[in-house]
Amino acid sequence: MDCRDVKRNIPSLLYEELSGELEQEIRNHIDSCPACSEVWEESRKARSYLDLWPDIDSRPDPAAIVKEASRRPARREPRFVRARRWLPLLAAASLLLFFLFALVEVEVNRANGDLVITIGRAAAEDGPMFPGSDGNIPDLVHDEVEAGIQDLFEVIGRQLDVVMQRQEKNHTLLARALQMQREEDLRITREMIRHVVDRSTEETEKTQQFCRELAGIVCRGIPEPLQNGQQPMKH
Amino acid sequence: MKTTDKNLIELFKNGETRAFEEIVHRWGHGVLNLAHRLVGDRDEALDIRQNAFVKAFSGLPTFNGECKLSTWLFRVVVNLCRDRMRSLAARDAALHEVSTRVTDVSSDCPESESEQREAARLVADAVAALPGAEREVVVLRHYHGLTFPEIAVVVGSPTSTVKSRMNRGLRILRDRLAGTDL
Repeated sequence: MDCRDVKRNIPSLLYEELSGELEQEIRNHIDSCPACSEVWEESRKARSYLDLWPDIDSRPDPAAIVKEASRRPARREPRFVRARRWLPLLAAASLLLFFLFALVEVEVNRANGDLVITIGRAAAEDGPMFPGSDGNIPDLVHDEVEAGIQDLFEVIGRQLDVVMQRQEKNHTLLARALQMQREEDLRITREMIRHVVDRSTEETEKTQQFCRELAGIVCRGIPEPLQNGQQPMKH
Repeated sequence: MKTTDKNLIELFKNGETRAFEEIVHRWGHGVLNLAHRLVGDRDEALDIRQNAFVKAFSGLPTFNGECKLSTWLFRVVVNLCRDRMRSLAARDAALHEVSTRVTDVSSDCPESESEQREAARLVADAVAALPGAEREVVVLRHYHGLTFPEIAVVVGSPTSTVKSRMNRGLRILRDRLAGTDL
């Protein structure tokens, strides 16, 4: 046994973990080797320092620990289980978005194969107020204005009822689509969503067409009729 | 006749919650002091003891008895202490904490002499200044009586590495404390 072996075993000797024979062999080496003897004495001294740091004491409350342990979940749920909790919120957010689409003015264009959707006032500000008109005010028919406006509101009310009924069907379709999405039937889900978008586009186009027609009626009641060769009045 | 740890574990696995309470009663002191000497803060140590037993409560049913209960329990504590130490931003801050903590500890024992308190503070500072791996080995061996093979299981390193760390830890302690009045 050389000094390296002895030094490697000093911790075991210090804490009496060696077998009797090996311990005696190492002690004999230490007695005859000044270098190892010095390391041994220094290790004993270091160990004696450690005894100067006493324990702290604080009795645990076993019943409280058991109570808390019983309350806490044993294991953290897997990520996909935790993610599943967000599905209802996701569905609600999707429905809310859909409602927003239904309530605001939506302009949908398919240009160059890209689907371009413009929502709300931006759709009106980007183009003429009444798409299809050339910006000039059409002929005026004073007598028809009041009756026309009255009829107008009735027609608008009926049209809105129709639109709302159709949008309710769209909501039902979307809800079914979400349900199918949960069942991971992506192909059917895509078809349903495409169908909903197409119907929504169609409804929007119908509404826009209807507004154009109404605009035609309303605008006829605003300016004075122009005679042939007569210049517009300057205010 | 005192119930062995093994019997307590079996009783707990069979639904005897009181067996777990006995385990807490039996090992609560050791777990607290191990945590205290590794993280150096009494409040942190109390928190770690609580968490260690909560983990033990959920983990014991799968404990297969491959090692002693104390070894298994100390491994839980060491891992919790490592997590806690990683969360401490600065080493110097931790050392500063130790000096105040030891004063707190000594105030629990009114009969302690001021010299004893000062000696305890110096040793606590020296142990806290050890590198983490060396500190774990020194504390588990000296204060908790684990053998080097058992420490190897707790810290997840070979026994020869554990002994080397013990040698290095003792050498650092001696160098640091040799110039003091201890």
